[in-house]
Amino acid sequence: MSTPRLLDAGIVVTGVGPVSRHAIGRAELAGVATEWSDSPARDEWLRPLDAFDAARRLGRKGWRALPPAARYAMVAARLAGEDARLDADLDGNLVGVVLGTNFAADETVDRFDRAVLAEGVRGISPLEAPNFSINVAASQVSVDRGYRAFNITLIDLFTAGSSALWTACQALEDGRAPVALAGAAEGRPPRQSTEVLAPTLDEGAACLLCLETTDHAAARAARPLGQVRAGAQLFVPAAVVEAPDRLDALTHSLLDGAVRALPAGLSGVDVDVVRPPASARAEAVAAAAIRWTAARTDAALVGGPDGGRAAAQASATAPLRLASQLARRTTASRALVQVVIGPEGHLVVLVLSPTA
Amino acid sequence: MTTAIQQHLDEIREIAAEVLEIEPEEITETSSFAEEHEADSLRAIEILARIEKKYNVEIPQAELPKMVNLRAVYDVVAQHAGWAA
Amino acid sequence: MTLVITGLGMVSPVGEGPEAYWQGLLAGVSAPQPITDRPGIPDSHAYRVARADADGSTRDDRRPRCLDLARSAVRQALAGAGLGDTRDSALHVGLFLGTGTGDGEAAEQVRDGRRSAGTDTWWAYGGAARLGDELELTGPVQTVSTACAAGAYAVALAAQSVLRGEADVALAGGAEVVSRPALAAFLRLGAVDPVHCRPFDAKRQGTVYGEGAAFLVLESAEHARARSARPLATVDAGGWSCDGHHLTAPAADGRQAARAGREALRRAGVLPEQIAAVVCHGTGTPLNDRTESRVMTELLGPRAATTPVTAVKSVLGHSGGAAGAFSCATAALVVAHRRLPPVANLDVRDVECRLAISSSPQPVGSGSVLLNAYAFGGNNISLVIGPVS
Repeated sequence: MSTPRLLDAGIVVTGVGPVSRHAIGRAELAGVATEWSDSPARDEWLRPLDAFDAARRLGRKGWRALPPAARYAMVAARLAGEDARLDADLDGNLVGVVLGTNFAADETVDRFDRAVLAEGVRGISPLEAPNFSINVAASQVSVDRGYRAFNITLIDLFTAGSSALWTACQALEDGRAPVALAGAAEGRPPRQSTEVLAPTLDEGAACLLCLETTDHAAARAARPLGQVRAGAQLFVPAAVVEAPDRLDALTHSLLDGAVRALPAGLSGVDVDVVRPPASARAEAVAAAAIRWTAARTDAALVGGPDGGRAAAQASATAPLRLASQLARRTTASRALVQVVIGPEGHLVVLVLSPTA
Repeated sequence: MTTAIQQHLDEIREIAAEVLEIEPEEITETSSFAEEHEADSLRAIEILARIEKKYNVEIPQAELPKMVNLRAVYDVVAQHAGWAA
Repeated sequence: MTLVITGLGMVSPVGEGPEAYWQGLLAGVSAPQPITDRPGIPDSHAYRVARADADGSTRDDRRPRCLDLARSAVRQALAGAGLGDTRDSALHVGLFLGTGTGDGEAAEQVRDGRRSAGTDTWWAYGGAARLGDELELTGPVQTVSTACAAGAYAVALAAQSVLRGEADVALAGGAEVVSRPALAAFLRLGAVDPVHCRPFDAKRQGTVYGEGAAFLVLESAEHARARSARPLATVDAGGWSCDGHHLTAPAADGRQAARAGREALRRAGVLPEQIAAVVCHGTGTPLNDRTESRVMTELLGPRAATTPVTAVKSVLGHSGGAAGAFSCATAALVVAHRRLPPVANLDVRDVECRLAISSSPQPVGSGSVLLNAYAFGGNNISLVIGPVS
């Protein structure tokens, strides 16, 4: 429906686990202010994740046969758990995992297929063989941390990480677990994805958030970074994008609904419009959201007048931007509405308020 | 023990150590891959695959259950590679 | 709110459409074919879908085949539900697609030289959005890729979406076609049976790839009644869990799979003795079938010896991300027909698998059907599909 749905249960974010070329861990993330728009060298389409040292983060063994996205996801989960101060002895049946990804398996699948053409089945290393499956990153988080409530992988282009967050919120609301780690992990993107995402992409990234019911968080005196109040997940078909009045009506109804979902007494709302700049389709939807924001005195656009165009981490982009804002706004009195727009028509809205 | 046998044992030990992510010295001829070195079925197949590649032999996966430690692996490989006992 | 299934669509190795599919399952006769249409593919076999393409015309191998199968299943399901053209509709219709490798064939064609790299060759998972554009959907459109449990999770997420009012109607299903790198990986792991798919048979050696797409139309009972649609079955609830044990091997104790089963029954408000039949995950992989047998024996309790159980992969092969959707569609047909398709290829039963399986169709008493989907990474889901009261 074209209005965000209010959550029946109180759900708070109690920790963030970012892994990106800008920052690994919350402390680094809070100190970074450039991720909205950076200007890479013109001839560079893929930027390495130099700062990530798997051996330092994950120890001597157990990760070498895993694809990079699974390594990033494991580290992001550990960081989010530490940031939320989750008890190491917490019963794994109480923690679920929902992960978005677009490229967790892309490089592996490409390499396997080339090896099969060159050498046959024996060209594939058995130890690496499971990595063709795009859900290996999410699964490895559960194997590593023992999180057993549920484990789901969502993969829609660019919006999957935000869908994962919303799906996790709804699973907590349904009483499937009191805690979930949700977000996205990305591996190396294929070069051609620059045509619909951004001219320069990162080799990898991950960001998981620790979501928790307010009851569970309160019982262990956790420190919430924000409360998820409402959310929406819908599709904007090409026919709607091509009809400006329909697009405006849809976007404005979503954002009006988002504001209505907020508690009284806040000083305003920050609107974070996250979309891949190379996609004209996403840009058209973003423009409608930006127009709504510009027309309201109590709303401000995150990342400058164009909303910030950096979107180098595919489905991890929006969770990273969300974590970044949560890491900095512990005392803010403003709400945050994140509107995440994919190049293929997917749209996810998350409505957060500061916690009292 | 002849040098040839010792050399093969050392080579296989090296392969197993790499797959099991431990130091070669930790593997004795009879230390159990599964119980002492945390080998699972995937790592066992990986050891088999690397041995096949190195010695250019084909070893059926049906032999895997036998390959529980270094000595047992050597025996299976020796049989399929036609190494003299 | 009661959630009902009002339409089914499927493209399968034993036929297209619910009627042909059901007859195919009851007959239980099918065989994997050598894969000859993919250059460089390892020497192996799969349960293939014979059709050319969505229109029945000569197939253009540049068309995304997984999407073609999904589109056909979706159209059948919509037609069966009496929904016809969604484009003129004020309804918010959602679509949830489970798939493992999607339309990875285009990239395979680039690698083997049949095609040059282009804007339509790098992204294997655009099928759900394509259908969203074609059908002008305005509900949630989501692609779920929890490996071999994806199709069942797609149905579960779609059901939740309708229950919460995010969509008036949801199309839920899965689609899978043979992927060269995925098949090779399965072969590398020794996980493919060289003869055929034979769940619960003592000589089973692994699973066998199957192709196909299955879709369900889900809506509330009230919504169906208001538009005079005939419900086939209800979708009652799901139980989710994760082994958190190993990427490829299920936890042998089956503790988490059992928890998913119990959770599904608890949420559905159904007692084990009210389960009239079970549609197993039943892959034909030695450890998986043994674990599932143990888990179901424990869950069904005293009724385990007599509650009929089937494993449709014995007829369809293992369609990965679509398999759970096929199981849901099968369960809906079982509830509607009160018969359970046979387990095919059952030569010598594994004595460790003590469920009430049969190589002939079995009668099904009143009550609900439980179905399971277990995946790579130890991801489990059980769903309860019930009769319409």
